[in-house]
This record gives sequence, C-alpha cells and structure tokens, in this order.
Amino acid sequence: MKVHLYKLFRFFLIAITILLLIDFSLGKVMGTLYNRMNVGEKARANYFIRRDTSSVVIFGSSRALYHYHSKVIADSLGLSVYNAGRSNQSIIYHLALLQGIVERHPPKTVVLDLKEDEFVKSPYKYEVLSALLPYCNTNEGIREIYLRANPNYKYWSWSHLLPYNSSVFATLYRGLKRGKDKDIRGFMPLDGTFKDERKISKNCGTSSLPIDTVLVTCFHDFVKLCKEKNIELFVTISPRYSRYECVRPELSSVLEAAQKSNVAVHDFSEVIDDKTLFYDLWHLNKKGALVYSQKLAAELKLKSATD
Amino acid sequence: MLFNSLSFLLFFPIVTIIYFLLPHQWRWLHILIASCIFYMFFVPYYILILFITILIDYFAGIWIERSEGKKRKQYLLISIISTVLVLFVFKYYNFFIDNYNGIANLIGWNYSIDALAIILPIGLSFHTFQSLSYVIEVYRGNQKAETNFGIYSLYVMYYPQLVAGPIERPQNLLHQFKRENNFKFQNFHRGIRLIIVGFFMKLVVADRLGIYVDSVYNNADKHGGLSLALATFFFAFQIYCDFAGYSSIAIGASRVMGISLMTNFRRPYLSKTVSEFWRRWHISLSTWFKDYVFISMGGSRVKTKSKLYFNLMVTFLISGFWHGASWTFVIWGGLNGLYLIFEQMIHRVHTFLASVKFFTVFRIIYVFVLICIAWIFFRSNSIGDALMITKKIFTSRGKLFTPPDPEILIYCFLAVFMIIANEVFYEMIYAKRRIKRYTVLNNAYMIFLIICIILLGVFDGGQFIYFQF
Repeated sequence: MKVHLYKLFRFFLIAITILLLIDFSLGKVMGTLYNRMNVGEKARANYFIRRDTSSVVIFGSSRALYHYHSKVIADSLGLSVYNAGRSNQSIIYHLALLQGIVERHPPKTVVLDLKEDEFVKSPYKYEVLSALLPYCNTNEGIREIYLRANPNYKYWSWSHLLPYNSSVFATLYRGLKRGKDKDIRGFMPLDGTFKDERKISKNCGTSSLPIDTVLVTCFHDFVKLCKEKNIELFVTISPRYSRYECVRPELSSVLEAAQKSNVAVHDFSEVIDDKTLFYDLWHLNKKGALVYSQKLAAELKLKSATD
Repeated sequence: MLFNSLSFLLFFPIVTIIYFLLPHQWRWLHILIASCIFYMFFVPYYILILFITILIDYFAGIWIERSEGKKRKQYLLISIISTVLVLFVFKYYNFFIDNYNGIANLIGWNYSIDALAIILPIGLSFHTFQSLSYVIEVYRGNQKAETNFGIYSLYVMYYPQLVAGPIERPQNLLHQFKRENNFKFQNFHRGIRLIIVGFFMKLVVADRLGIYVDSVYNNADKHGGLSLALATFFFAFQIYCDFAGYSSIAIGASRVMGISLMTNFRRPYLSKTVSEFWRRWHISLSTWFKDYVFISMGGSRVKTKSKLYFNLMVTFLISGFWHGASWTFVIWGGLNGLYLIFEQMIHRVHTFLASVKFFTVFRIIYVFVLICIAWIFFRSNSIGDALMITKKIFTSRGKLFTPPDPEILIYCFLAVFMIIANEVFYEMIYAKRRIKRYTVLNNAYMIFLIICIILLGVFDGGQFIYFQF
C-alpha cells in the first residue's frame, strides 16, 4: 500500500509540475503573440483596451461595427472617434470594455448601439464572451464583468493558457504575420448591395420573449458608469431594411430598461429606406454607413448644443 | 450530475478518497449513497422510479431462484413486464399516443387522448436493461440471486455507469462490489488515463463538431448538399466521441476504485464489415441484444435464411426503438438491419475481399459511408428532414456553410484528424505491439491531451447525447 501511495505522490508531483510549467510557458508565448496581432477583430480589441485615447467611442455588435464610420463622425465633430463594435457581442461585452478602459482613459462621449433583442435570453451571448478572456488576468475591470457571466472562471484563472482557448490558429497566424488593418479607427465597411426583396412582417408574435435579467442589469450598470465618470451617453438603434407592421415584443424590453435608467433611445431603425444602401436586411453597406454616420454626427452635434 | 461539470470534478476525488479510507465492509454503502447523490443532481424525485425497478427485480431474482418449473418463468415474465412497463410509460407512452392521435385525425375520428406531461428520467433505458439482464441471468442459472438489497441496488445504481452505461452483466459486476479493492497505483494510472481520453473525446472533438452539426442540421432546408454531407461526416465522429468519451470516463472512474467495467467501443470506424462495426460499437448494448433478443429468437442457428434475416431485422428494429421513441430511430435500426441482411446475402464476396489486403481501406470507407447514411436518420429532427437531407446530399452541391468564425471549421477538421490518427495508431501499432502501459510516452501523451483540452476544448457544450436514452 505504501509503495502505491508513494508512486501516486510522485506521479502527482511530476505531472502537476510539468503541466504548470507548460501552461505557464505556452501561455506566455500565446500572450505575446496575441498582443502582437495587427489584423482582425482581436487586434482591434487589443488596441482599444490597451492604447486608445479617443474622445468618442462607439459600442455595439455587428451593426455598430459596420454602421459607424469613425472618420466621418470625427471630421464632423472635430473629435477623435474609435469604433469598438464587435460582431455577435452583447451588452455584457460592451460593459466589460467600458469598465476596462474607463480608469485609463474615460471618453467624453459614448454611443451605445443596441439591438432590438439585446436583452432576450440566449446562451450564445455568453459563449462569445470568451473574447474577453485574454484580458481577464491583466484588467480588473474586464475580469469583474466576465465573472458575472461565468462565475466558474475564478476556479480556472490560474491557467495562463485557457484565455487563448479556441483562438490558437488566429493567434499564431496573425501574431506571426506582418501587416496592418487599413486604419479607419475600428470601423469595418461592408462592400456589396442587398439584392433580395424586402419582406414586411405582419406578425411579431404576441407572447413576450424570455428576458435575461443579467443583460438588463449590465445595461443599467453601463448607464450608471457613464454617469459616474461624466461620460455623455447616446443610446441608438441603427437602421435596418426589414420592416414590421407590428410592435416587436423584444423592443419593449429595451425601451423599458432605458426608461428605468432615464436614458433616451434614439431609434434610427427606419430612417434609411434606400435598398442600395444596405448590404443585407440588417446591415448597411459602406455607402449606407457614410449616410448614416453623417446623420448621427448631426444628431450628436445637436445634442451637445442643446445640452 | 454531468461528467463534464465542475461538480463532478469535486465529487469524483472526494468519493474516491473516502472509498479508500473506509473499511471494506462499508464501501458498498458509501458508493451507493454517492450514486444516489449523483443521480439526484438531475431530477431528485425520479430516484423513486429507480427504486421501484430495483425493488421489483430484487424480489423477482430471489423468487426465480427459489422456485421451479413454470413458476420460475412466471416470475421472470412478471419481472420483465413490470420493468418494461415503467420504461414504456416514461419513454414510449406519448409516442404511441401521438401516433394514435395522428391516425385518428387522419380518419376523422374525434377521440384524441392527451399526452402525459412527463420528462424521461435520465438513463432510464440503461438501468432498465441492466436490471433485466440480472433477472434473465438468474433465470438462466448463470447468476445467483443477490440477497443483500444494498448490493443489488448498487448493481443498478453504480454511479459511473448509471446514466449511460456500459450496460453491465451481473456476473461481471456484482462480485466486484464484495471483493476487497485496495488502492493500486496501476489502477489509478489506467483510470486517470481513460478519464483524460474521455474528456478529450467529449470536449475537444464531440462538442466542437456539435457546433457545426447543430448549425446545419437544425436548419437543414437552408443548406446545400455539400454542407449537409460535411455535417453528416462530422456527426459520425461527434456521436462516437460523445458516447465513447462518456464510456471512457465511466470506465476510468470505476477503474480508479479497482472495479472493472466492460469495454464499450473498440475503434468502430475501422470496421471492414457492418457486422464487425456492431461488434465494435456500443458493445455492451450490442451484446445485450445478441444475448437476450437475437439468440432467444433462435439466432443464426435457424433452419432457413429467411428466418435468420427476420431475426436480424427484428433485433435491429427493437434496438432502434430502444434509442428513442421516434420513427427516425426505428428507421435507423431498420437500415442497419438491412445492411446486415445484405451482408449475409453476399458473404462470399466479403470473404473474397477479406483475402485481398489491397481492398482493406476501400472496405473501411464503404462501411463508414453506409453507417453515415444511417446516422442521417438518427440525427434528423423528422423523417421528412432525413429524406430531404439524403436527397440533397446525393443531388445538390450548394455552397459550403462556414460559421461566423471560420476558425471553428479548422478546429473541426483538426479534431477529426486527431481522432482518426489516434484510432489508426492504436489499431496498427499500440494494440499489436503491446507497448508497456506505464511509460514516459504514455504520461507525455496524457499531458498533451490535457493541453489540447485547455486550448481546444468547448466548455459549454452541455450534456452527453446518450443521456436522452
């Protein structure tokens, strides 16, 4: 029995030491490569979290990323603008990003682009949050928000390798590759025009969709943080080509939450009707983004003038 | 409790350490209590259903042993009927009601019956079959009836294999609970290795492929033949790694405590015939059907070929129905039955092909393609979907679906490559040369798998596919 226990002890000691060593060294290599990336959404997030000092910041998912032409807005306002939008992300990600940069450099104005179904429950909204993992061990603000969505992470945060889970190839490929994204301050234009016919939905469903209270709380915290740091907040819903002849139940949750936080929602969802300005039903193309960004800049100017 | 959950990572070492600290006579009770806790993590009060099954078969076993002649058969029948009745109510009642209502509606008969609002107790089909194998073996005289109610309960409820097998036979398991198992490093090492392999299969391969498969199969009408074919190919590996991964964790967890469970998978996709596939796939279930259904009907020792084909078909139709209360599973079983019948018909061709080594790879691919066609019915949400998918795969090409993050597709191919490489290595080298189990190479392999799990694992993939059965 003693021999077996001795072997067990030796096995654990050697295996755990080797495992921790590999985890640490590989984690460091991955971290270095991750920070070296110059291309893609990860590189843009890296830059924004670690170095950006813009006065106006755009937050949101794909509709923010493709709709807000940073340069057009910057030229119109005479301020530096960065588009921190990221596809598929939700309010948890936006809050984490804001909290992650606010101590280093609080922006003057924040534009938060919300989707109509921003607060509707979906496990996918949590899955994509792994994009925040590479910053969790170095940025306390981001870590705090990430733990809200995934409390079990605290048991795994010892690993230096886990933050790079499912991004090995992108990290290796883009970390080693030279080159840079064309600098349009985070904005990504979509080339192409929507070709299909528009379908007008007459039935939006009567039953209310399940609302995720974590997402709603994150929105309230986002507003609270802006108020605490004296950041001007401009909440928008950006243009779409799809049309509804009914009230979408998911939209009411957004309006309700905004009302509760005493924030106005600027609904631009139907301000653009020209098919040639759209890439698909939900996204503007490059030309559309230009038109919309000019409209938004004018609204921002008007708001700051009235304030 | 799921094996791929944080609770299990705490549960397993605590239960194992207490197991070895306790004196031998108390160990079975400890594991029984642990198994109850494990099961009650799902729906706590469903343990009562399990208790009813255990109670029926415990007494049935004793009465069968004590009686003779017709009485023995009567007790066996009572036991089988009552055990299967529980399974029927929870798993098949709503299926029959749905079909009845459908037919009634079709012929304009206004007598519909309400379905039951119940959830299928997790792993019910598995422990029902394990209980049945006990009473049948007692009836056949291969196993003495267990008089200790606790030990018998443990036989049905043993936590590593409680919810998804392997479906054990009493001759293999019962005596191991009574034997004194002292801690042995070799058992620990072997067990941990199996657990790590299981986690790799589940988290790195099955759950990764599941992302692509679900995206395509859940919107099958919107995808072309190319995407559907790729999703089917991935599903073949997803279901294999999901289930074999579970089995590996179960066998490994049990091995650490010194209790051996039967092998459930033996590199099935390297089979050269469909019958070989069924000797390598879900072995505990295949042998269950062979021992208790196929052989009971006469097996292959029948006078006519048509009787043999009939026996094969019935066995596989029941096997399909065991998997799920849906016509898609029945068709899946039927297709496999047809493959085997066809194989019987052309067995001379197979014998010839087997004698020429050159054909080996072609035979493996041929069997894999046949199995994949059957998997379409297993995975599809309805027969209509399955037929549409099959048609699209063979007639249309379409654009290949790439997920929003194309990196997912790279991981899918990498996962499949790693599994194929691992299977071929085992089949060709490891198993034949019998590389010494405890070597530096083995430990390095374990560490490599853990690193792969950390870097490539999907940690929110949810439960195992076979839990629903």
